Amino acid sequence: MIQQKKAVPLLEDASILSHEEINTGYFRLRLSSPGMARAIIPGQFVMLRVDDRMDPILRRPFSVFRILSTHSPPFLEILYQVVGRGTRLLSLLPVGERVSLLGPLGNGFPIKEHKEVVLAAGGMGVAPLFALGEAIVKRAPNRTGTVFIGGKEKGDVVCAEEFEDIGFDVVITTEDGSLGKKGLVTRPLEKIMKALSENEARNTVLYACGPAGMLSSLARSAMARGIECYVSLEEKMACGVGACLGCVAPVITKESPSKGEPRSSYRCVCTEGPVFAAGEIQW
Amino acid sequence: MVTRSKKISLKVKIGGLALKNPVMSASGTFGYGEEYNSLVDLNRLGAIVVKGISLEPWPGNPTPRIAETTAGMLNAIGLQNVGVEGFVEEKLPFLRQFEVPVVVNFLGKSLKEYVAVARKLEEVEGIAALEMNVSCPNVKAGGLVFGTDPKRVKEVVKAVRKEWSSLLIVKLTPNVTDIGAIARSAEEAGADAISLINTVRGMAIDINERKPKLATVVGGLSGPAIKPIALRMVWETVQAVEIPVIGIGGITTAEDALEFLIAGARAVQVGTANFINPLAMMEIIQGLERYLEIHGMTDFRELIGSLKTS
Repeated sequence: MIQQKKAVPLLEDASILSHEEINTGYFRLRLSSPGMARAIIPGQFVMLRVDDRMDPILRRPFSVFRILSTHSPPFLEILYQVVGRGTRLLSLLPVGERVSLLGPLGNGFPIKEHKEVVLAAGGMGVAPLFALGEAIVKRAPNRTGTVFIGGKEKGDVVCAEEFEDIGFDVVITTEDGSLGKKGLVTRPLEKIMKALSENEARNTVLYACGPAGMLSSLARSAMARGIECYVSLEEKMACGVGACLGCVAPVITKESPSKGEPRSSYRCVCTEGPVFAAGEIQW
Repeated sequence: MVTRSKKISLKVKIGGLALKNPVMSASGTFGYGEEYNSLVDLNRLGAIVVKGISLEPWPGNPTPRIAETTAGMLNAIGLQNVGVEGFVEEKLPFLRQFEVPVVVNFLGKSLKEYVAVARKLEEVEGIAALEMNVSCPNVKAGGLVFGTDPKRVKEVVKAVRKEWSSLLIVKLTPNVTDIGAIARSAEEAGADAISLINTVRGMAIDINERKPKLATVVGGLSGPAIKPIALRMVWETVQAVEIPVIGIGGITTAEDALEFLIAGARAVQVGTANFINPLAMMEIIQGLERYLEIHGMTDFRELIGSLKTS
C-alpha cells in the first residue's frame, strides 16, 4: 500500500474563478480554495457538492487536475466530462458560484522523477496525470517524459497541448483513427515496453489512469517486464473517506497478515487508493 | 441574540446510558470514528455507533456495492468488517481517547455467532452498549433473515442477553409486515432499547448495460427517500413497546430529527447524511437547541412522544 501522506480531509467552500467547455462535453473548472490548494497533491481528489438539493444527493469525486497553491488566490482546477446528472448540474454553474469541497482525499502518486517517466491516460485519466506531470517537471525541469493519450475519437482527446506546454512528448491514439494513431492506447505502450532492455525497464516508471481494461492490460505488461507501475483506480463513491466501504478494489492479500490488519481482500479506493502499485491489485 | 435564562438541556437516558444529546451516528456510515475525526468533533456527539462487527472478519461483496437513487442510495456492502479481534485491537483504542459513548453494532450468520461476539465483547472495557443487527440472514435456517421472524428474534436476543450485561439495543429491519410484533419479541427477550430502521430492500437497473446497478442485484435503500417509511415504523414501534426507541432513516436536518422525537423516539441516528454533509450531526444538535429556544422549552424530553393524534 502506498502511503504518500495520510489525507486529512477538510470541508471548504470554493468559488468558481473560471468554467470553460474546452471540448463538447468536457469542462475545465478553476476553483478558489486556499486550504484545499495548499494541502492537495497529485493523485488526490475532492468530493464536490453543488448545493443542498436531495437529488442528485451524493457528492461527486474529481481528481485534481492542476494545483496552484502559491498563486493569489490559491486555486485548483478539475477537468471533467459530463457523464450523468451530477456532472450535468455542475456544468451549468457560472463564475462566482460557490461549491462545497471535501478533501484532499486519497493517497496521491509516489513521484519517481529520477526514472524515465511514462504516463498512460485513457479518456479522463488525463486529469490526475497532468497534475502529476506538472509536479514532476517542477521537481526535475530537465527530465523529459512521454504521455500516451487514448480516446474513442478526436473530441475525447483533451489536454494534449497542455502536456506539450510542460515539455512532455505526446503520443495520441483514437479508436476510430480521427486523431493520432488508430487503435487502443495500450498498443504503442506494449510495443515500447517490449523493446526496453532490462536496464531500461528498471529505470522506467509507468503511471496509468483510465478504464479498467486498459489498466489491467498495462499493469500485467509492466509487471512482466519489471517496470515500476502505478495505477489510479476509479469506483463509484458515496463517502470518500473510507467509512461506507462502497468503493473497494480487490487486492492481493499477504500470506500472513499482521495481527489486527483487516484480512479482507478489498481495499477502499478512496483512502487506500486511488493510487495503487500494479502488483497490489487482483486484476 | 436571545439571552437564555435557563440552560437548554439535550440530555437523555437510554436505559442506564446517559447521553449528552440524542444524536448518534448510524452503523455503517461513520466507520470507527477515525474516518471523520478531522471533520467532526467526536466529543460533541451523543454517541458513536460503529460499523457492525462479526466474529471473524467478513470480506464483503464484490463491486458495484453502491448506487445513487432519487434522494437516496442503495448499498450492498456485504457487512465487510475487521472482525471482533481486529476491532478490539485496532479500532477501539482510538475511540477510547474520546468522551463519547461507543456503541458497538454486531452481527452474525447464526445464533452461535451472535453469542460468541457478545461473549467476547463482555470482557472488553470501554463499550457503552451493544447494538444487535438482526437484519442478517440465518445461514442455518436457509438464509431467512433473523429480524423478519418474531420467534427467531426472541431466540437470538434471549441468547445474547445472557452474555451481555450492559445496555442492549436491538436494531430492526423494516422489511417486515408487522414491526410492532418484532419489536415486542425483542422487548420480551430482554432488549433494553430498540433502534430502527435498517435499510429498505431495493434495486436499480442500468438501462444501457441492461444489468443491475449492484453486484448482488438487490441492496438496501437509505437516505431521505426512506424517511416516511422509517418515521411510520418508529411511531408504530413506540406504540408497541415500553422500552426506549431510537429512530433511524433519512434524517439529515434537525427538522427531520424532531419528527422522530415527536413521534416518540428518545434519540436518533444519522447515517447517509454524513456522506453528503459531514457536519450534519453537529448541525442537528444545534438545530434542536434552537428549536427548544424558539418554543420556550428548556428540556427536550418534553418533546418526546408529544405527537397529538386527536
